[in-house]
Amino acid sequence: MSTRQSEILRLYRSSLRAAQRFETYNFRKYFYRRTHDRFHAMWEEADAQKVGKAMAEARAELEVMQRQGILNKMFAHNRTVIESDPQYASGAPRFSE
Amino acid sequence: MFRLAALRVVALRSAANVRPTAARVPRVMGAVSVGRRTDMPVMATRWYSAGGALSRSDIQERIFQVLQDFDKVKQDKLSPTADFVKDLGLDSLDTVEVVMAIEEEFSVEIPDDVADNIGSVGQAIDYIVGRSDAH
Repeated sequence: MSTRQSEILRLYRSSLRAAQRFETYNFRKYFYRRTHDRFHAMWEEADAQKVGKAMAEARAELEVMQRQGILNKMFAHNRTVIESDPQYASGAPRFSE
Repeated sequence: MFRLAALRVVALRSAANVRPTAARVPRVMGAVSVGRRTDMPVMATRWYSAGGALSRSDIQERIFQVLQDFDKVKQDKLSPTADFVKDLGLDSLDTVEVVMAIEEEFSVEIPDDVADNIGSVGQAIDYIVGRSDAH
């Protein structure tokens, strides 16, 4: 694996961690999804220059996510209904037929 | 409650006018049974037991569960020795996600250099077995 690739993987891991630290369910899921999509697109990209640009953007965004994640924890709000139901939050089907 | 107990100890000691050295409340919170007081203060310390370690089969079952929730995993290939990339059909990015999901499942944070080297179900199980703080 090239250094560039392992660099992307590390950045991906840090970004996912930062996304996971959001307290608010919707923000957490959104940033996770966004990070996921962005990095998968980056991984497929063949143009090295574009990858470099995307990585710079992702790095800048990582800082924002880390900062906002902390802020979001400070001003945590009530949990949503889906979170307070452990069965549903774990991904189990809620209504079985 | 402990503060009350400590105050009571001090009050009792000063009332009885015991030796000045004994009046020093020990660093560990002293608890006294008022009925029979001895010269040696009873040390009330808490002995936390070591947590029951997770068994290997429990860990394996939970890691399987994590992998089963993952859409891209080839479920029929799932085994304790399966390699994430070769057997389960994941790419490097997916592997990162799986390792993150395992971290979350066991409430541990795996350092980057270790996480980079986890590439199979067996390695993940071995690592979690070695983590005493996993639960």
